[in-house]
Amino acid sequence: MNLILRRIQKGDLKAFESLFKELYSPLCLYANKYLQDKDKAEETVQDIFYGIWKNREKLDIRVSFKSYLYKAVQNNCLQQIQHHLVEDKYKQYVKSEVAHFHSDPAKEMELQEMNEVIEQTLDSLPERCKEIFSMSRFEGLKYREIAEKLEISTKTVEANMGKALQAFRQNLKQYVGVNS
Amino acid sequence: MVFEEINKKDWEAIATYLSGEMNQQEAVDFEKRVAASKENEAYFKQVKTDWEIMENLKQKNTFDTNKAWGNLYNKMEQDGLLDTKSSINKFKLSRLAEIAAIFVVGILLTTLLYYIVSDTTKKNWQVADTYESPEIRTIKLSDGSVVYLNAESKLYFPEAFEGDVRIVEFEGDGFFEISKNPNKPFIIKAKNAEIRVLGTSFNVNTKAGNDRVEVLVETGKVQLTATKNKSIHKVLEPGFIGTLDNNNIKKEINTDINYMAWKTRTFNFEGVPLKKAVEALNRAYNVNIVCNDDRINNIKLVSPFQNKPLDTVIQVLCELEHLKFEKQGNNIVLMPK
Repeated sequence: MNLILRRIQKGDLKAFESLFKELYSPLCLYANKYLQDKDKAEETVQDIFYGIWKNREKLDIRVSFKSYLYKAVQNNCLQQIQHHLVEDKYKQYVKSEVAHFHSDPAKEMELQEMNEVIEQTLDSLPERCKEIFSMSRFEGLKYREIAEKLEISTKTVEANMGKALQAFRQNLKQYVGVNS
Repeated sequence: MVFEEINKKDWEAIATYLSGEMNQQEAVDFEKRVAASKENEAYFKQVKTDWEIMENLKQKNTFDTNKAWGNLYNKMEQDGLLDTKSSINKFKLSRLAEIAAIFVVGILLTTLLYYIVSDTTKKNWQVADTYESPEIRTIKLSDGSVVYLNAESKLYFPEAFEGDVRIVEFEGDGFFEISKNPNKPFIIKAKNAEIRVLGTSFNVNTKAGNDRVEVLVETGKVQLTATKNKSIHKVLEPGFIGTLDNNNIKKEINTDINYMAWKTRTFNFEGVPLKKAVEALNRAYNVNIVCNDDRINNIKLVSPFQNKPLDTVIQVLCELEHLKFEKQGNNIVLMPK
């Protein structure tokens, strides 16, 4: 079941690297939700990977590697927050911020999967459509600004945005249970 | 707007609403339409979730995975966590010491012979260089390998490769695509370095510092050896850069995304400090862009460039970052506007 774990236990650096490259960024995002500090989030995730490599021979993982990592990040972050709990502002902050997002690693993994579907969908859109959607959603440009930049009408922008959104829903159909 | 038969116009309306393009009246009307049925409401909620999840993607690129891997790798190496085989080797070494001694003598003799042979066969060697023209030059070797020379570089090579090895000599900055031949290793001699491969592609740069030779591997494996002390060697895998300085080889993950830009003519300057970008441009266009203002040097750039003439690149950079440039002799000096 855990082929990658076995390869890592044997000292396969390539396997370790590909695991790292696949999960580093999503795990950092997850850690950042707890820590609200990007540098600390990166440090935490790197430490966890470091520990995995160092103790690889002793690792005993019964769940998937991915679940294990998400859980490890969560534990580590909670410990760090606990550490700060003595400070009042942190108390306040934990109450207000952390309580707001679902802290369940399983849900976070599902979210991550959805992100992957979104990325794939984005890549499958016609070039123009992808460009327009990215400018609006990711770069925060107004329809009018997009139209000017690409020398097209705002109607075309509108139409492409609708088309993209429909494609996303189509591909995300299977994920019905998630509420953000 | 009903769940099953949501049409093109509805999709456009949802997108317009979610991207905040509706005025207040339009938004109110839209919300009323959504609230008109439970199905609409549920469906709209799904689409809104899709939209919100994408927020994650915006942030996704804020973490530099390659750089992080570089950090981690270097830390693991420092802490001795990468020598997975060393303990086994040490054990065997003591038992094999005697045999090894015999081999050392053998290797010395072979090396000597190989130098004699390679010197006598140099009669049919040719030289190709790029000292006169600034264009990248492509050289096809008799075994099908291809070498791309950046400006001010030189390659000595035989008309045909005879014997058990393929040897060339090299100075400067160049990219090698070596055709596979496991029975006949390819060896590049560059300054105090010997670069040995079976069939792979990689970059060699002897211009990065006085005695320095840099090797960046793109595919396959490359062995970098110090000519003066053959016991100093490292095997480099794709993505790694090996630096030979005097008698020391450093192996690191390459973090410079523009290292190969001189050949690909594609510069990715997103988030790259101007200082680094200037280094990449100087190497690729064989020019001397200079900037002595630290505030400017630290500006993080945003734009990519692909196959653009240098003039265009400089003009666009100046325009975007509010700089001006002046030609002073051989230098192009960047300064605040």
